Amino acid sequence: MNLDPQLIGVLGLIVMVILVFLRVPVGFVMILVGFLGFALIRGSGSSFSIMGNTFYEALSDYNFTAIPLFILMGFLAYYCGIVTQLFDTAKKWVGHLPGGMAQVTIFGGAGFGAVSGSGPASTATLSKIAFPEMVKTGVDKKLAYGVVASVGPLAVMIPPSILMIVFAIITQQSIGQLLIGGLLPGIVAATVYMILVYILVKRKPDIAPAQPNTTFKEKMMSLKGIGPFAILVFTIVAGLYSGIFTPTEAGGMGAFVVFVMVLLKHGFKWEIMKNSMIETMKTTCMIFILVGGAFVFSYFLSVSRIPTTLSQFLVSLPVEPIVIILGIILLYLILGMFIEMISAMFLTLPIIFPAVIALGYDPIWFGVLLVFLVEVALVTPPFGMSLFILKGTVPGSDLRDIYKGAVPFIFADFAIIALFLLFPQIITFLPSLMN
Amino acid sequence: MGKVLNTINRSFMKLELTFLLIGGFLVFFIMFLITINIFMRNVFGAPIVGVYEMVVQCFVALVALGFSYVQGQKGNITVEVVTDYLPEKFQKFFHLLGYGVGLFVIGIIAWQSGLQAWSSFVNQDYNANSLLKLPLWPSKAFITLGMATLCIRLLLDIFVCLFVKEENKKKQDEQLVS
Amino acid sequence: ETTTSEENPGQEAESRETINLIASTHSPPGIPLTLAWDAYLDEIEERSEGQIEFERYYNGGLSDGFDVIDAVGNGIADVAVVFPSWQSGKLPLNTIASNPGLHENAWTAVKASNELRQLIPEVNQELENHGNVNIGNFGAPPMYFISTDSLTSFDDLKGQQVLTNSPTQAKIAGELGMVPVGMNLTDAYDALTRGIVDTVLFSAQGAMSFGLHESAKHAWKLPMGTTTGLYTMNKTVWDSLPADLQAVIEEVKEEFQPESFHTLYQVTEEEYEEKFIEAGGTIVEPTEEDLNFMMDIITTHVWDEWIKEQEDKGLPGEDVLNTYKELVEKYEQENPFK
Ligand code: NA
Ligand code: NA
Repeated sequence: MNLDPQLIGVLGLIVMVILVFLRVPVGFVMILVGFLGFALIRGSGSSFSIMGNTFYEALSDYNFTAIPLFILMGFLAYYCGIVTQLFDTAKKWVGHLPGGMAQVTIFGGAGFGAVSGSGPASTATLSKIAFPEMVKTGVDKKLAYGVVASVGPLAVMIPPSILMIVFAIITQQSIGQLLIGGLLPGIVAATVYMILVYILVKRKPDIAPAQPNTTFKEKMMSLKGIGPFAILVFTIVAGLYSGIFTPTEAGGMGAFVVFVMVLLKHGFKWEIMKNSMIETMKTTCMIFILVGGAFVFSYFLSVSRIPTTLSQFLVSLPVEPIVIILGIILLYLILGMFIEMISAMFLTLPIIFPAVIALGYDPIWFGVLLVFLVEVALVTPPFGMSLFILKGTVPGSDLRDIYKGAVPFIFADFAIIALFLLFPQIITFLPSLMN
Repeated sequence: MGKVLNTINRSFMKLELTFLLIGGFLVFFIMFLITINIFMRNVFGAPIVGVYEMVVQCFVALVALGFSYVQGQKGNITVEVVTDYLPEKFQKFFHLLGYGVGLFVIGIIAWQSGLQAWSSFVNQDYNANSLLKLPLWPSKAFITLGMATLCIRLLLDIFVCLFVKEENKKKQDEQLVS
Repeated sequence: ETTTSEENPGQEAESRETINLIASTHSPPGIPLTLAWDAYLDEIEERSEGQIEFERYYNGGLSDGFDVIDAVGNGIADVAVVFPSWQSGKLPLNTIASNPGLHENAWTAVKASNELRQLIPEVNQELENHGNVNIGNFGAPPMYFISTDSLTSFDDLKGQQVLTNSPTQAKIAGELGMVPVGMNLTDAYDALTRGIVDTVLFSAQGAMSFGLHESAKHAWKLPMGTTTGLYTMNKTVWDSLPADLQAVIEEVKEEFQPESFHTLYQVTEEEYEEKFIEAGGTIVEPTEEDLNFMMDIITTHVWDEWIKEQEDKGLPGEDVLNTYKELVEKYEQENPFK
């Protein structure tokens, strides 16, 4: 075969989109196109070897092991009523405000980011526990999808964050500065989402109907409902920050704490355990067919040289620095629609990162911006892991509704990117205090 | 044909559920392992040797054990945005296309990862970079087992799609739920 | 895609097609290990006058570091950086230079590793069994103890929780009365800042690239083993190269690489040590007595066990270790950078 690898790459992307829209499961399509494309470029022998290796290689990464544990924590918390109690309390306090319940989820989701270091784990947990609670109080499904899909990934902005650490190592930046650099932008992003929800609800009040206001006494009485949840959060946060366990261990510890709470409250109930196990396994395995497929596909896309050619082209343009930055943002937004962003960045960063630094941009600023772009890619159709996780975890969900729900939040993401460009201090302020 | 298929399908679903629950126990197992390790390290200053490697191996196994169940529940992510607008008579074709693609790629993965697991077993490959010299073949073999099971599931899906009428499928689903 | 001119090995150089080879490393761009790899690839491109060109993949973009010899053997990559201790036990003899206490600096390690392969063919045979050919060798300066607590004596080590990543390190740590904690390197930063572990085993540049110097300010330079690696090429690709290009690669390996590695690794390590001190760190050199104590532990608990493990497999472990040791001594004398 003497086809140009880049041509094979483009054909591969086209075939992938067609097959996905013909309803072939996304994971299978990525494996198929990755397998055939790699074989065309590098020969069938190496392609077979990729097929034999990749799932093992992808799954034997310790960082991933936190995902089922956080998901288990979420389900146990759901089945023993911790989450329902929490939402009941929230309803009494802020339910009467416009979009109150959606706002609570954004607030809680950002808070969840402070205990979880992994985006998919956080999205999966929120979609299983917060989504139904929102819908129960009458929040429009599309709005609820958008909230969960966008807030879940905030876990990678707000420390702890495995992705930030990986980026710091690749780009040779201070891990501490990058981690702290994500905190304020994470809070800003959550705030922008809350403003967006406020605007949406002001325009169309019935998408998140206000709950009846409650008396002060009722509010105070309801506070005891958050007890178990407060204990859980306190245990994890205190344990993490006092050095009792690591971020990847936090999932295991969190699940264990809730497990003990379930035992204390209900005794050993096989039904609860069994349901939690089934749901945790279903969500985990659904995610990892996609992860494995994304690995196979990324290897193919790497050898097609499309990402490297595009980035070389971009950084060689004779234009103003800001135009190149905008071009890079656009490149990642487009790449992020189709492929797994983390591997796309590994591929392009060696070209793009030195160029950006040479243009005079702050490395920490650029690092945090990149991590935020990874997050946006999780929410952009047609291929967005966050959207797929929602589809997989919410029974009877329709991907069209999920896409529609995500759209306003993608616009909010653009606004957030604009804020980072206009006010780089949002990112650089906290890290600069460390010097 | 339809009846036999239904019986086979139902027994196979029991197998898938069993695998899934074994995976679920593994999730609990790593939860305990991590918690005990945190406890041992902080209280006695004596962490368990090789926890990190054991957790990874269990994780590989548990993920592999659930693949088939997820497919059986049609839980793998598909995009219906276009196909829903197409006429009913095409729908069966799309189902078959999806199962066929799956069977092809998962078949190759089952076969190739089987070869890898076997070679790891024969050569006694171990995780040389860890504190415990755990053999690598068991977790590789779990991937092969999971993928092979998923292959049988996809094959069953193809047969059910071809030979079982819609109404029978619904009836069967109701029986399973109850 | 690999285009080779195997049909016409005698053809004039200028009329040949360029040979494009895929080069893979698991390491991120910019760190000394990768810079040295890039310098090596650049040199081959230059000395072959553009007849060989490398398409480069970093950070495991094509294959992670584990079992990468299989990725090369199966043609996923044409050339790659291989850490022998990450190959699931497939390259036992090649792990020789990872043993602690054998060499002190990069130039010597490269020279000794190159010559070892000529003297004892079994070392390269392991690679060829997996369809790989050796085209380069390196050994980084040794790792040592870097801690949040001041370490100056073996008593200071007792009871310390130390992040270890290999059975050898764990073994030595255990013998010194430390508590080895196995952990993912991505957790190292949090673990050290929050006090989950007290000590890590790193070189200054390794520690600084993981940000560990922010909390671990005390280094004690007792040798704790080192990162060693090889560069390999797919055997079929190697066999298809014209003899003059094979000769170019051999030249780069023998003439260029030892010095390049010295400049990019040894010198950088020394610069990193200075940076470590600038960042508020202290580096304590071990006394002769400390070194002897340590070497005793290393000889009986590491070298002897390494030899036994090889001999149990029917491999010439003792011969390899003794030869490597003699070669290191010989090149220590010849080292122009001392
Ligand atoms: Na986080
Ligand atoms: Na996307």
